[in-house]
Amino acid sequence: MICVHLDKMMRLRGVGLTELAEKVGITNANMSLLKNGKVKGIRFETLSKICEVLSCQPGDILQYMEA
Amino acid sequence: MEIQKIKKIATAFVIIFALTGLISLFFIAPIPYIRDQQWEAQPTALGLVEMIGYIVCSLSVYALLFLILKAVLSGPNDTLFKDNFAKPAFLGGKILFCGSLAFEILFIIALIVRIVSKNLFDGSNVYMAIVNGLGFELACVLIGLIGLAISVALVLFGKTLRKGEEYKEDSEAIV
Repeated sequence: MICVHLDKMMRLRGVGLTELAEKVGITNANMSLLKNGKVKGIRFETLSKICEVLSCQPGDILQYMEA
Repeated sequence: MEIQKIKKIATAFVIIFALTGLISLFFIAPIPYIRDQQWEAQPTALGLVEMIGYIVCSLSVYALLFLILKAVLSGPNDTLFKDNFAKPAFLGGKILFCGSLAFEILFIIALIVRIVSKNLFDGSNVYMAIVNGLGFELACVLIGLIGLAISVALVLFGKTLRKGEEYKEDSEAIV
């Protein structure tokens, strides 16, 4: 399964949920869902914007873990 | 209104309310106990019951305030304000409801006992006895009723927000 470590990266960069959602261009609710790993999938477009805003790699946010 | 503004207003409200409540806990709670001590030369069990009732209610209010404050001050890095507020509001409402109910029962019993035993009307100054004795109990009953109303509102509010959470948990969104 894929684990989302968005909260960890947000904390490291000192970026809030609202700020990140605004910069990425998605709603607060969707960003909250993504942060809590409650989404079915993520678009490459959204992922690249998050990486751009947080200055990180997709691997810093997403991690594969055995179920 | 923006979430950040709501957070600031809620924080200020909670701090002011908690401070005034804390002061009142130390000054108002011993009133029945002290009053009985003055009138009857020794503290009565009834005064003690009233004091305990007040403290129980106050503590339940502080438990609620603590939960709300924790939710409010959780910071922008956490999940949505709504997400943080729903559970504490629901739990806090239940705690406040139980506390207020206990408070109500204790004070209504105290009120009935005082009226039945007529110990308020034994003194020469009946007017002062009513003001000092019944006034406190009636004021406390009123506060308790307000507490109950607030708790019911919080439970309903918490439930409404939780509905939103449940909807989100079922989400199959692709963001």
